[in-house]
Amino acid sequence: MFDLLQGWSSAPALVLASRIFGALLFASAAMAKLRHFEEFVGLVARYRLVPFSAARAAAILVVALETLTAASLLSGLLAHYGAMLAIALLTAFAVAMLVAWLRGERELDCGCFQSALRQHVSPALLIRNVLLIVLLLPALAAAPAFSAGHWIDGLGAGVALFILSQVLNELLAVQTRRQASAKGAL
Amino acid sequence: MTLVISQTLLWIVVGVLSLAVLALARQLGVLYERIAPVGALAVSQGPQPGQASPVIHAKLLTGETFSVGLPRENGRPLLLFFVSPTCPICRQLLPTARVFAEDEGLDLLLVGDGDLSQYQAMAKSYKVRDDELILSADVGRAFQIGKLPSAVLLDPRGVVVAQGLVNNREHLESLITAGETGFASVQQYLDAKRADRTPEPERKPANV
Repeated sequence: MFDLLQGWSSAPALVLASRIFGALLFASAAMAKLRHFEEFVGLVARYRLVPFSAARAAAILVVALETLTAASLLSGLLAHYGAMLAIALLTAFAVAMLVAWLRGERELDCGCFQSALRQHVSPALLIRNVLLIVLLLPALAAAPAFSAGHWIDGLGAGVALFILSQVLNELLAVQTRRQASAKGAL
Repeated sequence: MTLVISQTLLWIVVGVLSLAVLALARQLGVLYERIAPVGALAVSQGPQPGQASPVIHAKLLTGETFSVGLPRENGRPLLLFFVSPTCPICRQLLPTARVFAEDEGLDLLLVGDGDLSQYQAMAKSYKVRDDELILSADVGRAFQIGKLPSAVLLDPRGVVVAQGLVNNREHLESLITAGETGFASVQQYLDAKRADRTPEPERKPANV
């Protein structure tokens, strides 16, 4: 694992791409949650992992941690810890979804991004989170010096990855909608 | 330098292509939304449109007793909106429901069931007045509400005009139109339309 990280340090474009991807991902997630904050509080309560009275505090904490992650990855300040936080958050979300799913929740909105983009908790979302974690692993590497060429590749790949991850989300949401309309209930 | 320019161009192309795919995926989502039911999904349980509402006495958050289903003294229709603090769509729709009720001249009554403190917290964050909310499992049972958010529209005499599962403003509006068009639900409207048509021969798969 450590050798692998050192290997990535010698591929600065990869490190940069991973950081930019993570920053965009968490910034968009935090913004969407803030835009629909009251709804997000309801969702946190629905997960039933914290007592109802603590749902608001937990929701604020999630948004704050996401913002912190995005800021760290984007600025490069303590980016190593930012990447660790990002992976920890994604793992925690995956565990929360798994717990809800095992409890028998099939129609719980995951609350991942915009609430307009309704995605029910499902194994597909767990796989998506694992994929996102893999994409964020290179950001763990120590920051080497970045040249202009690295910036071009890093920025290009990071932004493209982010857009493609949004495509994946849209498609997963379509799947949710299709299942809902097949059942006749929205 | 040539390499830098070509690399930049390539990434721009990749970015534009990804955006195009994203736009297509979004359109796909919009398409699914369009073909979803446009009206409140009426449930076949509970009091049906045209029937008198059951009369239930329940306590408002103020402590006063409110009688659901009795003729209304102020002559305004009553919109019962069944909600729960832990139902995200309910929370999303709550402000819309209030504006909608105001626009249409309806009295809005939120009906919940469960922990009082959770409802009080919700009422506080949405500025719901204490006389707009009742906690009563009896009301939900009488109307046989199985899914949230549901709404029931009662006319001033206490007769059910329309009822159903509501997920957005269009669904709420369909409750009003139900009273105007005479079709109580989307299902009824579609059934009526289908009955008008002559039965079509069964479709056969096309020969390939």
